[in-house]
Amino acid sequence: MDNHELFARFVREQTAALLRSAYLLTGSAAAAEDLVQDTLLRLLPKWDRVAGADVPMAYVRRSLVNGFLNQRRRQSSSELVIDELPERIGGRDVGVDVTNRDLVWRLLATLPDRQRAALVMRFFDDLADEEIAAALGCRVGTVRSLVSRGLAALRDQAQRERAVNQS
Amino acid sequence: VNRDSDPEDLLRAVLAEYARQAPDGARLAERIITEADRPGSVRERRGAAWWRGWTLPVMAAASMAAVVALIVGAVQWNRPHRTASHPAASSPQSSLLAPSSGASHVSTVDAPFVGFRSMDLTFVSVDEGWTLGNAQCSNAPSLRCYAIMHTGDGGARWTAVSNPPAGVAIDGACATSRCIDHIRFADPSTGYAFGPNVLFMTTDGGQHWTEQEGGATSLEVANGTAIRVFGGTLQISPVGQDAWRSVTLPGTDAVGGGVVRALSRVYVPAAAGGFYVSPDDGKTWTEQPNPCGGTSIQTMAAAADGSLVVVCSPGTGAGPHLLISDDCGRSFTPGPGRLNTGQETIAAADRSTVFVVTGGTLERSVDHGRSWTAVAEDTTPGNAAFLGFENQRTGRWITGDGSVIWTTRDAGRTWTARAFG
Repeated sequence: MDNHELFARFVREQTAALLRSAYLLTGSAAAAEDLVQDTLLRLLPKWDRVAGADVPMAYVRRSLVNGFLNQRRRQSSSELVIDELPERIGGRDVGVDVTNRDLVWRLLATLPDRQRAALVMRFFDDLADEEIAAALGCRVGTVRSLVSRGLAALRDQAQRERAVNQS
Repeated sequence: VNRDSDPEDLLRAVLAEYARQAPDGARLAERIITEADRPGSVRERRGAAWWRGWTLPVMAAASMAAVVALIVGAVQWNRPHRTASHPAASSPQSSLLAPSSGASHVSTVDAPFVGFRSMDLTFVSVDEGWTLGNAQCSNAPSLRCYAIMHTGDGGARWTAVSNPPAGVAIDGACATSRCIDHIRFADPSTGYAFGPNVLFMTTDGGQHWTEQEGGATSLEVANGTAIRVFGGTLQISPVGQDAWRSVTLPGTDAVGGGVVRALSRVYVPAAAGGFYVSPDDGKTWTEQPNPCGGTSIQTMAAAADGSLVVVCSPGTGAGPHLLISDDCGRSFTPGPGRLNTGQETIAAADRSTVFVVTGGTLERSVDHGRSWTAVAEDTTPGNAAFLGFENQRTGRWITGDGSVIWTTRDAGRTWTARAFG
């Protein structure tokens, strides 16, 4: 199986998972597709290196997160574009209050990019601190700090928003 | 878990839910592969703003990428026997066998969820049905959410409908918690989603659900009535209403299993050992003795023509066996049908055409169970999450792991499989 065939196989098997992560990072369907497409095509010329990695998906995810952070650095605005939410499809199965859920999603978009990326990798991809550190190119201690500060920021912003709404 | 007070749990739930809004990965995958195949192509990009602000170094990089793509494309161009397209997803074809003719085609369904696994199925016509199951709702395979989907084309394409606001039901382990593990629809609008402790009804095809009192370990709908087993008692309500009342049964009133029904006939095992039968959609009931002699009723199924199929548990000196009645249980076929273990899932198209799933093989008998022919085989784990016939020609089998739905439209002679991706 040559590199191109390996590439095609990986793309078919992993694009959906990459898209979910990309969507949570970017908050936009179009931006998520662009991020995944750009990441994979950028890696294509060196696919033998990807295929030879211990965990090819980890290699690609690292590239995806780097692509996201680089893109965000290039953009002048720090705001995260969030699509108009489509009609929800059975979202109540996890028993979360609607107000809290929408609030958290909106607050997530306001976090610094590295904090958001760390939270997505920790609480959606279920990655270990070491894996997140490799993806972000930082130390494990920094990951713990990013996650901790991200959660604290969510908690603080939620409290502030509730206070404003109540006043 | 109170997710409102635990930010980590709440965040996990929010991320899992919003990840479902991500676009369809299959289409993008094919676009990327096509893009990679195209020599010197300019990639179609949806987000034009993505490229804004890129300057000369980036343009140079893009030029380099184009050169690389050109080289890769040229290599591919010169490669003999190269195909431009591939199957959309990894197919479970290799695990599916078709020992008899006509069951060889396996396709992947179009569904909005990744890794959907069906737990139950209900159809109101040959083409229109709903399925309840669970699906991967994050990149962590261990985190699964339940989902209900609707099809209008016999199961080739599924779309999501709303879930009732209950807890999560996974693997059908629904004995103690507030959760849902079964679904039944009476018509395109009115349906029920239920578990032992909860019951929800929709009157708009599953877009909205309202909770009713109690739950159901078994519920079947037909001819304008819904009949359920709740707390060991049998109850009945007009379809579409919350007007449940207990049914007065002969004997002890205690039921010992789930309701089965076809046409206007309703059957339910009695706790005392026999079974109750109603010929008129639950209006009147009689009690019939246990037909299994020295053993007990293990399973009952209603054939699509109203006949009753009883599986008798094995006893001293006798293996499990099958009995069929076409007169509301007053008499049964002489000469019992043969079964292997008694643990098979069973269904019937009519009084003579019976199906069992055993060891992942779907077998068909047209002589009251005396001889069996394998008509479909599936090596995915388990036997059956569902096996049933909507009418004497159309039946469905969900494999034990919920990953494949087999369908027949010719009374079980041939079966086609559709796999959830």
